[in-house]
Amino acid sequence: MKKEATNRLAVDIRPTRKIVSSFGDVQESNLISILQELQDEYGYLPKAALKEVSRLMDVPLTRVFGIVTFYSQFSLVPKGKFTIKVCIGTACHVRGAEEVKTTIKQLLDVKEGETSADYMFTLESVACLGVCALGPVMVVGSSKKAAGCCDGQDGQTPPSGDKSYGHVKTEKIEGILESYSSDKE
Amino acid sequence: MKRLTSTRDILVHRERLRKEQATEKQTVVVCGGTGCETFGGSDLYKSLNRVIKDRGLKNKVLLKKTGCQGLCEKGPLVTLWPSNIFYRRVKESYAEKIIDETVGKGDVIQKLLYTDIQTREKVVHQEDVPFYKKQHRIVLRLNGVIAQDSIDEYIAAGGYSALEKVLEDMKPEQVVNEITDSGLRGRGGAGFPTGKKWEFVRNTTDSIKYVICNGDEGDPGAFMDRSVLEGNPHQVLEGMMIAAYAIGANRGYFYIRAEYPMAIKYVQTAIDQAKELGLLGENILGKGFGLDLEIKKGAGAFVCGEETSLIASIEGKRGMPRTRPPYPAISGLWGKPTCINNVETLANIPIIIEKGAGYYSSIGTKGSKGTKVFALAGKVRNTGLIEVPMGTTLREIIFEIGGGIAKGKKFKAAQIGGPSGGCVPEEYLDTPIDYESLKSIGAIMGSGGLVVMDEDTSMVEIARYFMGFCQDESCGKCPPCRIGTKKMLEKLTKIHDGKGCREDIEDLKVMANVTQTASLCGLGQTAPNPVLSTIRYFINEYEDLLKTGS
Repeated sequence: MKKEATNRLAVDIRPTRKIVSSFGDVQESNLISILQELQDEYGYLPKAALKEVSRLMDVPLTRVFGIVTFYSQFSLVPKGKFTIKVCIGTACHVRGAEEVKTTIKQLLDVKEGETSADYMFTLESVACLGVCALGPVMVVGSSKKAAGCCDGQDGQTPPSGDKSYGHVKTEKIEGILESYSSDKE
Repeated sequence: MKRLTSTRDILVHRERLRKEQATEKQTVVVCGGTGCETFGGSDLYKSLNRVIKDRGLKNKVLLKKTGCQGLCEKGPLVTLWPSNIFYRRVKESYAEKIIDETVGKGDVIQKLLYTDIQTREKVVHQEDVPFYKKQHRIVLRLNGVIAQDSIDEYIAAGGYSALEKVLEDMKPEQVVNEITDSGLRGRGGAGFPTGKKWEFVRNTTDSIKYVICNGDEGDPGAFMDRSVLEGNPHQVLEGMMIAAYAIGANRGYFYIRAEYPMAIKYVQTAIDQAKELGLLGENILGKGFGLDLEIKKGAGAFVCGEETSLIASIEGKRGMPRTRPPYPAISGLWGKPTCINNVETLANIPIIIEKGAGYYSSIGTKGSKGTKVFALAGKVRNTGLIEVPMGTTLREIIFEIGGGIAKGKKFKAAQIGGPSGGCVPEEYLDTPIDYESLKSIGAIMGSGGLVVMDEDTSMVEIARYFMGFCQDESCGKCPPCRIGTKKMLEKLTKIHDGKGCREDIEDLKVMANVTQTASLCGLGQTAPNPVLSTIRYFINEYEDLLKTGS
């Protein structure tokens, strides 16, 4: 991991307690849903939060850890402000997804799964976003609350919403990333 | 909203909605599918809305957003009713022109019309576009017609009349028989007869049973289920209600990939709306049948499309498969009889009930009835979402509906069935699509991903790509899959890099056979298909790499 994120900053454990209790009776079947909400909340799954989940739900930490490492959606390290997901599904693959990924890797100086030095972007690849018709496709979205996105009938896009880019051309990528960098605080 | 408490209530409600929705207004329909959204569909929608307001046309013009209309390549798509004028590649800047010229004066904007690739002529109406001509839309019949978040429009279009019919007139056994007679087979891949599956669950004596909708569409290169869930979630919901009634379940789950946030959102909306109206919950339409539905989000694991893994995932565990039997129909979620159907399978149910098994089985081939939705992608001119009767040939799909290969290149192969499927070469393009004939040429129906490859695509590279995918997604529980995919990937990489020898190809065949025979679940059993089919049809490409290096 580039510039391995340190857990120097203390993690606020209160949201964890709130999320776990919002599921009512402790049921192990809710574990994945709880972890999904935690990831939305923190942007990743801090160790302290996982320990708390294990304690509150009376589920061994090994089992929690087993789930976290099994599903690709979960991350144990903090992510950048935005996550770039490059689709590497078949349709995107035959239309040049590999080149898109390589370009981003070079621009951000990261490997897949890593976060840029300025903590702006995390690069991930996903197997199929289901927008095959527009391959190659990439989606850029806020790393926190990533799931709460997209347009409704009223056509409102919440600021945290994911934005998809279709027919991505490698020479256009720098410009796309720039448009997010201006978002820097 | 008043709850509907009897089957009469829903009839009255539908009539009222139809009267309300009957409109003299001109309607501007914007496609809200993911493809069109990506091309700026939502900005276009906002601009159209603004222009309609600015011109004071709110009372004369209706603007609505529907689910995926199919021709994703040419998005954003706009259709005007009642004239049925069809515009493609509509940039936001055309909003004023559309409202002023087409809606206002009835003039057609030539620049936005679709051009027929063969005749070079402009096409004004959607139904005349070759892409739509060859299609037969049953599952997608309301995609592009009703607003994707409106239960009212679904009901007015005849929605939930199949539910009303089964609750009013049919015993659960009759429903099961109807589905069996229709010849419907599972659309998720294996093609198991749906009626048979229901019958197994129906015949168990447990008091608790579950129904699950498998929306874990993980095949890279497939987006059918996504488009159905986003475009017309109520049709799937209705199919699930009927399934639950037929098998005797009172609780059900939608398992949807987390990568599909919009699908999750629209299904949740649909569930909430159905609850409010009394179509979910207790004593539905006063007939004593009760059902609760809930969404479980997947967390990014391809293997969870396999039914026993999916069940483990819903139970909150690592999504790993287990040996079958017992099949989930006997012992599934929390050990209870469980019926798992794919999204598209369930979306077919209301139509079968409504129009009868006879109607449904009149479409398709001898062993494969009805239609199939395909996600047409890759190097084809018209990429998008299509629905054709079973028995349609690949050539018709790729060259007539798809408009042929993009950029004047030559066709090489069609990859059908995702990582579990195979690559079909030119000489088999006239094979009619059904479960058996696809199997005989080394591919599978799969869930319906159809990726077209042209002369520039290296087939060894494609085989390596799929093996990389399977190796990555292998859950690691059984050694044949865990080790087999890894070893095959190594061999393929070696050959691809020009370091392979003839024995490597022979080794690949042996490993493929072992992995196929000995793996625990469908992932491992089918992972060798892309390797075997490329060796079978494109052995020359492997051999070329042996001789010259890459």
